[in-house]
Amino acid sequence: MNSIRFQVHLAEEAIVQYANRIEAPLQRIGGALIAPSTMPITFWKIADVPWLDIPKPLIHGKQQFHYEAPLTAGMDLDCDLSLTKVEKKNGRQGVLFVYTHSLTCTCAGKRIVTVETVLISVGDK
Amino acid sequence: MMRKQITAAAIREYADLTGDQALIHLQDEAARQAGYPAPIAHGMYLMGLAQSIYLAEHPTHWIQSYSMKFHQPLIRGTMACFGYETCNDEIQVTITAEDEDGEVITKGIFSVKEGVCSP
Repeated sequence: MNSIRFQVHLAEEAIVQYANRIEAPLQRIGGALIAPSTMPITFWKIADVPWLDIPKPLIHGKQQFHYEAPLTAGMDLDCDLSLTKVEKKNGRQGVLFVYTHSLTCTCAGKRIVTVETVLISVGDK
Repeated sequence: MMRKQITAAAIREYADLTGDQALIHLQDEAARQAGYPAPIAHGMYLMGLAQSIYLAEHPTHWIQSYSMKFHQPLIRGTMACFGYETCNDEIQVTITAEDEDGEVITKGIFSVKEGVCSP
């Protein structure tokens, strides 16, 4: 299995907590609180993803967010996360594996954000 | 240019909120085993801070797209320097470590739209 589907209810309190942690100003559009652009990265965890159940630590290589519309408090999001590519590379610390993921979040059938996350396994000597 | 020291407490608080409790961020021994001299900051914490520092100065902007490449880990306790440059309607951000090497930690780029308000 290289994809999972899950739902997220985006509560205003969760936005406030995340914004406070990354020191983001609170912003509103049409009265609704906007989630910081990087917040979708909190929608899933490595432990939730079966293909990342590996004994090596993972670090970020690249990260990208593209919004069709602001992500706002109160949205019920349908999220699809998939592993799109696995590459084996030789790095300064030895062999690395590069895992590329795509996450799409839609609300009532409308795409809100597309996220690409590239994680790299480290620690191989 | 904005400077911010990335402390162990800040890394711990980010880990607690996001659930990213990977030991390379939190424990000296795990970081050493992964090849780092000390625990490293979450890349997504730095990416989040970079957008926050910009938006604090531009509160009517909304970030429509944002990408970042992570070149080097930022070691716990390091002073991070956030630099911004506008180029062809996009904003380029570079985070460097304020240490003897002055290495580039990450480079990113984002595009914005007007039209939001800050309470």
